[in-house]
Amino acid sequence: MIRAISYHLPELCLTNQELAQLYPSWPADKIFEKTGIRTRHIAAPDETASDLAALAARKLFAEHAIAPASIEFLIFCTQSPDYCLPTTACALQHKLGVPSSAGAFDFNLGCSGYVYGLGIAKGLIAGGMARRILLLTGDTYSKYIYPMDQSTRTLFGDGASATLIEASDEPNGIGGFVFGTDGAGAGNLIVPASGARKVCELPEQADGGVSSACPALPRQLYMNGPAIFNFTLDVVPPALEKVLQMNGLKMDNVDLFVFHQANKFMLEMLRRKTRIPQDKFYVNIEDCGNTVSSSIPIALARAAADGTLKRGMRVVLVGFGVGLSWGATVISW
Amino acid sequence: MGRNGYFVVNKKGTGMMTQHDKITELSEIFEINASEIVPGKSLDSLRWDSMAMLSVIAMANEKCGKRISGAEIKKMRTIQDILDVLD
Repeated sequence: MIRAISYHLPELCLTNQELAQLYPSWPADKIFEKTGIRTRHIAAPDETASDLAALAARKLFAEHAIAPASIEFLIFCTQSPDYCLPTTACALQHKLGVPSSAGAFDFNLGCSGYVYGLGIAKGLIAGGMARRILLLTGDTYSKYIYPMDQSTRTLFGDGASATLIEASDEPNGIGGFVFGTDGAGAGNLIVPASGARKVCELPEQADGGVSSACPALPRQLYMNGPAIFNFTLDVVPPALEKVLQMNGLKMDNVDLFVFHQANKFMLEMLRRKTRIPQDKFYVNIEDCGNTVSSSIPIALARAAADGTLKRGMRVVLVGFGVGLSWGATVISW
Repeated sequence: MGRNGYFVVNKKGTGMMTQHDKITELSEIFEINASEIVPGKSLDSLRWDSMAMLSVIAMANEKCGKRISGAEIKKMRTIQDILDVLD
C-alpha cells in the first residue's frame, strides 16, 4: 500500500507573462485558458532531477517520520539522469542514507512512469524481495526545451516526488494494473540525439511533420502535439475501461480519478470522453504545469492536503505519454 | 453508462454537424466572426498553431466522431480542407 507521498518543486518560476513576451501570438491569459497553467517551476542550471528527488525524499522522511535506514529498495523514475552511467539511484542511495543492503535502480519512463513504479514496487513486495520501497520520480525537461518552442515550454515544469510503498495485509492497497506500449510512436515525443543512436529519424513522413512550433535541435525536445493528442484519445478511454473491469469496478464505485496532469485542454477532453463527473476528476496544475512522471504523485499529495482525497477512498490512476507508453491502476488511499 | 454498467467508449461520436455548426465551431477556434469563416480562406492567414490544430482534432473527434491524424492536419491549407474532413 502507499504509506505516504511528498514532493518538491524547484524555486525558480517561469510565468505566462514571461512566456507571452517571447511568443507574441500567445498572450498570458490565452496560455492559461488553454493549458490551465499560470506558472511552472524550473530547475536552476546546476540543479538536476536527482537533486529535486533527494529533496522530495527528505521531505517524505521528515513529514512522515520515516527512517532512511528502514528503506529496503530505492527506485528512481527519470528521463534526466545525472549520467548515462552510473545509475542515478545509486547516488541517491548514498545521498539519502539508505542502507547499502537496499537494491536500487533507475527506470526510464515519463508520464506513465508513476503507475509503472507502483507496479514494480508491488511486484517486489509480492515476490518477497522487499517490504519497504522508496519510489522516487523526478525530471527536468526544461533543460531539453528550446526556449522558443511555445508548444512544450508552456506545458512542462520540473519537479520530483517521493512515495513510500509498504507491504500490507490490506487486500486492496494497490490493485490490478493495465499496461500498454506503442513504440511506433516513439519519435513523436523525443530528444533525438540524447543517447547512443545519436540522431533519430523524426517521423516527418509517417505522421505529419515537424514539431508543432519550431524545428527541434538534435539535443532538444521534439513533440508532435497532434500525434500525442490523438494517441491519448485513442488509448486512455479503453485503458480506463479495462482497469475498471479488471478490478471489478464500475465508474460509480470510484471516488476519485487522477490522470497524468498533462494540461487542462487534454484533461478536459479526456474527462468528457470518458464521462467522468467533474467533481471526481482531479486537476491541479496551475502553479506547476506538466511535471511528467511526478504529476500523478504531486496531484495525489495535493488532493490529500486539500481534503479532496480522504482515507479509504478508491482512486483510479492513469498515466500516458512519452514512449509511447501508458499504464493504469486502482489504489485505496 | 452502457452495457454492464461500464461507460461506452465513444468511437462513433455524437452525429452529424450542420454547416452552421461547423462555421460556429471554427469561428470559436480561430476567434474570428463567423462571417469571416469562408471556405477558400488560407489557414496561414489565421492563427494556425499547434493549439488550433489540437482544437480542430478535438472538435472533429467529439462532434462527429472523426479522427484526424497528425499527418492530415498538417497537410491542411484552407478552411475548406477542414470542412471536408468534418463531412
